[in-house]
Amino acid sequence: MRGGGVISRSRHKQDWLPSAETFQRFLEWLDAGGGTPAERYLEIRRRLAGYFDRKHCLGADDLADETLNRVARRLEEEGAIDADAPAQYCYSVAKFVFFEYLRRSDRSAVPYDEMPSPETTAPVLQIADEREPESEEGARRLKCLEQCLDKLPAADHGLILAYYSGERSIKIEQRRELAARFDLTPNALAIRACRIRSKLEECVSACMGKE
Amino acid sequence: MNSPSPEFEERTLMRCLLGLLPEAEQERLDSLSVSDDTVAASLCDAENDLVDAYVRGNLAGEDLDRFMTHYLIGERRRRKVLFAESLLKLEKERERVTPLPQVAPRAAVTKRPAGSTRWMAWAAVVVVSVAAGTVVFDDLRLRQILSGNTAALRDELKAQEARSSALSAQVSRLEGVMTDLESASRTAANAEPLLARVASFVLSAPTRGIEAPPVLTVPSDVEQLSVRLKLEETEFARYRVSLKSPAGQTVLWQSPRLAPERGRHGAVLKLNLPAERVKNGAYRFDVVGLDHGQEQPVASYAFNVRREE
Repeated sequence: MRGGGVISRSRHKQDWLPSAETFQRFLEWLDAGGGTPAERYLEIRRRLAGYFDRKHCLGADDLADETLNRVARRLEEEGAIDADAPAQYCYSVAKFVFFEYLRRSDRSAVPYDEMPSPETTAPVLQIADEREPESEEGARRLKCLEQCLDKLPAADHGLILAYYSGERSIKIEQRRELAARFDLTPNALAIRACRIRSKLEECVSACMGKE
Repeated sequence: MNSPSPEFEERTLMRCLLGLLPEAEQERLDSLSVSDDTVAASLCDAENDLVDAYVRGNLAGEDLDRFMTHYLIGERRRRKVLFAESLLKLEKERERVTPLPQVAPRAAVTKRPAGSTRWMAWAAVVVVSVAAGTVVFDDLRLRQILSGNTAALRDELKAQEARSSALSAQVSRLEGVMTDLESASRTAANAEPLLARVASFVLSAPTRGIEAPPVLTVPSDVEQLSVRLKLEETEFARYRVSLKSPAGQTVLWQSPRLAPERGRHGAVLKLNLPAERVKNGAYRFDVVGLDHGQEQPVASYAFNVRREE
């Protein structure tokens, strides 16, 4: 599904922003998993952005922020949220945000299969041109990746390269080795690898924006 | 609350990402992808692996099709692909810079004078780790090593050697399997369907002269196009071909990795693609050579299509 046109940030976000105190309470409420409250917040935000992204929403990150803001606001207004699982509650709110997004879209969202012929949707599929080999941008991105990798702790640096290197068949054995080496379950290793990769992706995007 | 996480097969997660799941199942997975740590990690893992498979040229058929037409919609996803390409480039660069060294024989470690044993053992651990392709910097282990725990180090070395040996054997085996699979996949991907109505064309290598692009006349009942692209040179072992719209911005179809074949037309790339991908109008096939994960432009074959009513 895909909404038409660019929806501005201001249209996605409400004016309300949590105070420092509210935000702190919200982090504590959200913190039902491993890691620090801030890590948990970023993890839930990443998952929500992934949800909106799979729905082909424009500005998935903004919609994730909007969702978390609404939950924080409810917490502030009502003093408590009666939900067993904070993440599940966030998802329920995300669904409302998504429905509102659909209503707000200038054109109704339609599945890609029902879109007009590809010629009229050229900007959607520009990936082939972006994938020009050895382009200046590609070289810059590679440089940014190296810089971002250097900022990682040594163990994370080694883990991310080992986890994602090699062809698929090799990866299975490699990951088993890595899990044993780091004394992690395969699932815990996957969570760690995903978090590192997400951080790296964000770092590379920020680096590309800066240069 | 602490009920065990449901497990989803890798294929199910992939179908979720490619938009191929029934609505109810998609909704369930969407919910769990936010609320359940295990499912969230599995989906994240599956997405990264899917994108990596794409940039490595390991997607084909319906998966590639859905990836291009469904997954790639959205800026965040395109950024993921660009990131994956950079990661692959980095991996290839590091492979070139760091050729696989020989594994040091164990005797060389044990027969050295005591003073050099620690250094040699450390070097051997590094060498073995590099050979296994899994160098991981573990601060704790480094501190153990540097504190002189040579007995533990020897045990570690033996274990590393055993693992490295097993892994090398497995890598060799898997490389053989991969070669067979790739070959089978190419054959299958390019096999001309027995029952489909096929129109065959040969496109010559583009010249610098001002020539009108050839016109391919496609009868209305044709389901499959079989196209031979003549190559002037075959400097790459593998190629990939993209069918693009006249503006050149839209990829309408992409081939799997192709090996050039010698025929009566000289070196050619054989393509088989659904005829429905083209309508009346101008198109082009862009050919890139694949070199260590990088794509080098080779040629562009412009042509016009005329669909017979």
